[in-house]
Amino acid sequence: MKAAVLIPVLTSKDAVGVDAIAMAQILEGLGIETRIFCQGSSGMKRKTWPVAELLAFAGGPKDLVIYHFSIGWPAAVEQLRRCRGFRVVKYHNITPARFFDGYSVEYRDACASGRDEVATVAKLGCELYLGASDYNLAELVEQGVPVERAGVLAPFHRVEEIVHAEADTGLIDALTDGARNFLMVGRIAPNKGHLDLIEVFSAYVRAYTEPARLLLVGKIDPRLQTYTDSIRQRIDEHDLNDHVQWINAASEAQLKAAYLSSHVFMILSEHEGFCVPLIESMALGVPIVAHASSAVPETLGDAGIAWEEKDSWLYAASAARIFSDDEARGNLLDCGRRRYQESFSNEVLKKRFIDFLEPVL
Amino acid sequence: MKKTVADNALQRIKEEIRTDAEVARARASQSVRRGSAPASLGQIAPPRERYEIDELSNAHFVDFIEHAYAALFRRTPDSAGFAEQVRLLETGRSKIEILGNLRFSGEGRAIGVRVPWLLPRYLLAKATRVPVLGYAIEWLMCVGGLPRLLHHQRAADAFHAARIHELKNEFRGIVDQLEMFREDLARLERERTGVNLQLEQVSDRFPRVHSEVASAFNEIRDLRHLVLSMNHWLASLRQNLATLEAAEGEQLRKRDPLYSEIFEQSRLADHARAPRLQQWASDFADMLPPKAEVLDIGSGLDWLQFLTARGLKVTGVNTSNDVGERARGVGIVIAVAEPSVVLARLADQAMDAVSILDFPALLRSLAAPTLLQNLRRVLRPDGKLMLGVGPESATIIDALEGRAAAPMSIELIELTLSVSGFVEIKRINAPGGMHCIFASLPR
Repeated sequence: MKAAVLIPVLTSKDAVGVDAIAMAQILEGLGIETRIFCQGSSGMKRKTWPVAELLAFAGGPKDLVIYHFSIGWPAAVEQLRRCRGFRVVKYHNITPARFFDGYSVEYRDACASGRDEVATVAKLGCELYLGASDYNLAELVEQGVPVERAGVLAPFHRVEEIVHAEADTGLIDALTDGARNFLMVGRIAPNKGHLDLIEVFSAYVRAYTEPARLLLVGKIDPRLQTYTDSIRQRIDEHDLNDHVQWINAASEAQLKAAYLSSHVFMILSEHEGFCVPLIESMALGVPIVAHASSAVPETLGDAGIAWEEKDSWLYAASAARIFSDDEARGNLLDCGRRRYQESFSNEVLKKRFIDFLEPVL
Repeated sequence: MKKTVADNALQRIKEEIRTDAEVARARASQSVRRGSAPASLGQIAPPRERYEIDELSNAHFVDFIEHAYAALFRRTPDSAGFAEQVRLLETGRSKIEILGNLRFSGEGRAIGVRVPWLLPRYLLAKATRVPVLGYAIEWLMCVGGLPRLLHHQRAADAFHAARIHELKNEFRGIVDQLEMFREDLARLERERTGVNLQLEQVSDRFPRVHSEVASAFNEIRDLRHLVLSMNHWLASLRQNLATLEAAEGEQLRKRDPLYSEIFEQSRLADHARAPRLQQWASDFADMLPPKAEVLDIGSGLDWLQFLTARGLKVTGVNTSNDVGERARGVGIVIAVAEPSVVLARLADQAMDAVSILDFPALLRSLAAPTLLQNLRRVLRPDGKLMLGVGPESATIIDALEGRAAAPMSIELIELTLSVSGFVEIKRINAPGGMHCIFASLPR
């Protein structure tokens, strides 16, 4: 038996890439020869193979193929169709194209074609469909995936590595100056709700007198420069330039320092297939306030304060409550740590992953 | 169940946050205040992806290793790795080789910091480790690098000369500090001698103080003995007094029913008493509002009953247990106690009226000024006072106990009342030398 992991582009820090690499490592740990097939890779020492060689390697009836579906990739779908072994689709969700209207034609088209492919993938008749969340799985089921072939498996992640990594102590020193630090981690993309976050932060600064700082940690994408500019403009409009700190393409040490120095993790994202930063916050002990959109409430559970409304004052008051109520903050952090350990630690996910593959192992 | 409780708590907090949000919204709309800006951190640059060899190799020894780890691994050295790199430096390995070891290790490759020209120089450094060939290469490098070595040698000479100069300056500073320490030591030595002298003086005084303490201790011991003796004597005295009090109490208990019986017999023999008291009670009640609160001191049961029959709320005070029991038996509220104690406990202006059927007898235990002062305090404004004067119960007891009857003039009583601030003083004479005086407090 051989195993193949398909992923459009393999990168070491991207959530989908981390998930794919972890799966490959688990399969190798089980003594199964495993290769990763992709169009290209970045920042990886691991050897990868072109997708054209997939059938030759793992196209047989006893082989296992896992496709990480996060963007349109017709070539992979075609290869998957021709495989005769146990085929698994791991659906990470695709951002709806409308979010990129007015920001990037390139992204909009890519997302649109990716979402068009959901129906095609759902109809491939693969042996197992895994959603990174119930929210993701529901989209597949809606497109015709039989429930008995479907399951939920949260993505593997690098939270343990971050927990054990050394933090940037200089950054921690700079951030622990008495100001309340609001943290948002996520790439600078239109679905992530940065504009609403600025509104919330502005409300907090207007209503509460404590010094406050907003940390925007995430990679700035030059192809989404219009969106980045609109965030900067919103910051200017609220006269918050002195309060907002950008950390572009943070190193692991900087990311950990940001988590350790922050008093609240606040996210107003409008579309998340899972939201890894939420479980990073749970594991690193940062209380969470979030907009209850897409898969966020499912991932968050009782480990944070989630609002369906987008009323800025609710989020500002939530942060203020967390800052002032030791008991409430302590309860949220306890719930977060427990939720992470019980539902999202890599050990738990590994056991669940192996259970899903039990028919073929 | 536990989860439901937690859910409820979170729900409750969210409801409270909704209220807080409205308050915050209103507050922000009403004022222009803002939270102050935090300290500026400037631009937080992403970690560097490229270093020149010179940047990495300029530092020396420990600084070199720490800088190399920070640049190539983006972390501080772990203890094992640090010790290994120090060992390599100490055994004469070149910095290039150490930089190459770090950069081309698994961790270094994963991070991928670019250091131009490091790889060929690292390979060259490694090639010198190949037996025979490495020796030749090293020779060639040494010969080819002679001009550069000379250059380095001169630079090293200058560096070391500068360093020696710095060390000499530092050494001079240390010598100066040592001199200061020496002076401090000498001063401390002098102070120590002074302290020793003082200690010796204290030691000389110690035997005398010790002898005084011993003497004081002996005196205290004698005193303690005296106190204990006195305590023993007091305890004996207390015991004897208690025995005497018990005997007296027993006598009183026996005397009480006897006196009561004699008084009853005497009362029955006095046929004029009942109509006289009824008349006084009637006159007294007419002066008072309906259901007035009356305190009676030391009168007999018949007087209390006459007052109660007139619709007055009567509270009696009597020292006789027997009278107390009989009064309670017919539903009259009565306190068996000394009148002075009861009067002291009554609140100011608590009563509408006070009756004392045998006023001269009460004066035996309570002097008139004290009694009248108390009566003025417990009576409400316009409160009434009734005083009986004549051979009543207490006077009988005086006779039984062999005490001379106290001569009491009715005019003297009226004068005393008048001087004490009572008004509307009125006397009623009855046959047999009996008198009744009514008086009021001003409104």
